Amino acid sequence: MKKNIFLVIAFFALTISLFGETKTEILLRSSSKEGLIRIVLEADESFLKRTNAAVLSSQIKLEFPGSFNLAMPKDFPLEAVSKDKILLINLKDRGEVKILRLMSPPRLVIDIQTMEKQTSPILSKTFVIDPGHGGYDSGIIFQEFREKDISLNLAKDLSAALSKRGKRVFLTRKVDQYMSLIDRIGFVNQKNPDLFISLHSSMSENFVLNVPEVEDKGSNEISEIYSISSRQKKYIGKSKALSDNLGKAIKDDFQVNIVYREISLPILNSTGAPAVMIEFPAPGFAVYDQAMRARLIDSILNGISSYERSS
Amino acid sequence: MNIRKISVLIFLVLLFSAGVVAGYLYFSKAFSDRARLSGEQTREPSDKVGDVLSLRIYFPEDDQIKVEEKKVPRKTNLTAIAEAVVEEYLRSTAAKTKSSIPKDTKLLGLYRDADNIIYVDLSDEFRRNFQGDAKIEFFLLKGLYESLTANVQDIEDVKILIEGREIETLGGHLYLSYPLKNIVSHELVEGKGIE
Repeated sequence: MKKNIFLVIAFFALTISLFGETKTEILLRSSSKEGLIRIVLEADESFLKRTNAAVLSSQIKLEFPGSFNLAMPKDFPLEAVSKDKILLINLKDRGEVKILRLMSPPRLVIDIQTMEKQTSPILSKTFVIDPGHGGYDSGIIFQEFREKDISLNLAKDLSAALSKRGKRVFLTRKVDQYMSLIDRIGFVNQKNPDLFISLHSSMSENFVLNVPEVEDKGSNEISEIYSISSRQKKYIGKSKALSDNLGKAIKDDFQVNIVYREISLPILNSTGAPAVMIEFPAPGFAVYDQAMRARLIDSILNGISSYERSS
Repeated sequence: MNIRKISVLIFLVLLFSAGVVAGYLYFSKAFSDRARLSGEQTREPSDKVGDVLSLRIYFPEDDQIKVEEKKVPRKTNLTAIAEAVVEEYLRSTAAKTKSSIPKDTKLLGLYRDADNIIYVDLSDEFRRNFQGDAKIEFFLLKGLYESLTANVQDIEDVKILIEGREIETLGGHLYLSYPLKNIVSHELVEGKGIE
C-alpha cells in the first residue's frame, strides 16, 4: 500500500517538473519626450539575448525564448498584448522605430518616433572621418566584436549620412587594412577638411571625447607630432567647441555620462582643422547593430549642427 | 741516572710534542675560517643582511598610475638597476588583476647610448597582448617612463623597441618612433565640458 502511494507521488512530482516551466520576469516601462516614446524591457541577460524583435507594419513583435510574467505600469502609453512566448506592442502612428540591446543592466530599448523627425542643417562642406585601427591592429576585442570593425561601420554610416546631405566625405580607410599614424595625418591634411572626426572605442561604458592637449612646449624636432602643431594651434578653440557640442548631443540622446579629455594624440595634434576623437562605449557595454549605429550617427549630426550654430 | 728520572724526562718530551701538535691544528683552522669569510665578503657584498635597493615602480592599474616600493638586491651598475626596474614593472601583471600591462611580456635587453637614452627591448607580447584605449596606452607608457627616470640617475629619455626593432605605435593611438619623454610628460585633463 505504502509503495503504491510513493509511486503516485513520484509520478506527480515528475509530471510537474517536466511540464511546469519557470516563468521569467519581464519589467516593461516607458517614457515620453518631444515626439519620442521610449520603451524599456528588463529581464535576465541570457533571456534577452535570445529574444527576437521585429518591427511590423503597425506592431512591434517580441518573441521570447520561454514563457514570461509581464510587469508593466498602468499608464503604459501603447497597447501591449501577450500570448505564450510573444508580446505584441501596437503602434498608434507608424513612426521610425529603433531597437537597441544594452547591458549593465541587461535591457532592450525601443525608441518610437511619434512625429516627423527634424533634420538639423549642416553647413560644413568637407569632412575627413578616421576609423581607428585596421588590419592586424584589431583594437579592443570583446568576444567576436572588434573595435576596428565597429569603427569602420560607424565611419561608413556617418559618411553615408553626410553624403546624403551633399557633403564631401573622405575616410582614412574604407576597408580592413592597417594604416600608419603618419599616413593618416598626411591624408587628413591633404584633404584640407572643415571638420575631422576620429572614431575609436573606450575601455569603459562611457563616451569619451578627446581633444588636442593645449600645452605648447615650443618647437623641437618632434613638435609637429606631440606638441600642438602649427596646423592645429589655430583650431584648438574650435576643436573644444566641437567636442562640447558633440558630447551634449550624445548625452541628450543616450542619457549617459560623457568624459571630456585633453590628451596629446598625434592624429589630433597634427590636424589642420577642428578635430575630435570620439571614443564610443566598449563593445562589452553596447551592441553596435544597425539601429544603435543610426542613433549614434543622428547624435553626431546634431552635435555638428549645434557646433556650427554656436560658432 | 736511574730509571725513574728517565721516565719523567720521556713524559715531559711527549707532553711538549702533544702541545705543539694541538696548537698547530687549532691555529691553522682558525686562520682558515677567517680567510674564507673575508674572501666571500669581497666577492658578494650584497649577501649581507639589509643590503638591498629600494625601487619606486609606477604601475598602470585600473586606468590610473599607482606607485609601489619594491626591494631588490643592491646593484651598482646603472644598466643593472634599469633592468631590475623594468623586470619589477612587468612583474605587476601577474600579481594584479587590473593591471593593464600586456601579459607574458619579457624584457629581452636593455641598452644605454652615449646620449643617456635607455633602449628597452621588449618581447612582442607587449604589443600583441595590449588591450586598451588611448588613456590606457598613455598610462602604460607613462608608468614605464616614470619608473625608469625615478630610479636610474642621469637618464635623458626612454625608447621602446619590440623584438629589437622600432615600432610606430603600440595600440594605435600614440606614436612610438620617438622616445617617450615628449609623449608622456604632460598630464591628462578630464572634465565635464559645457553644461
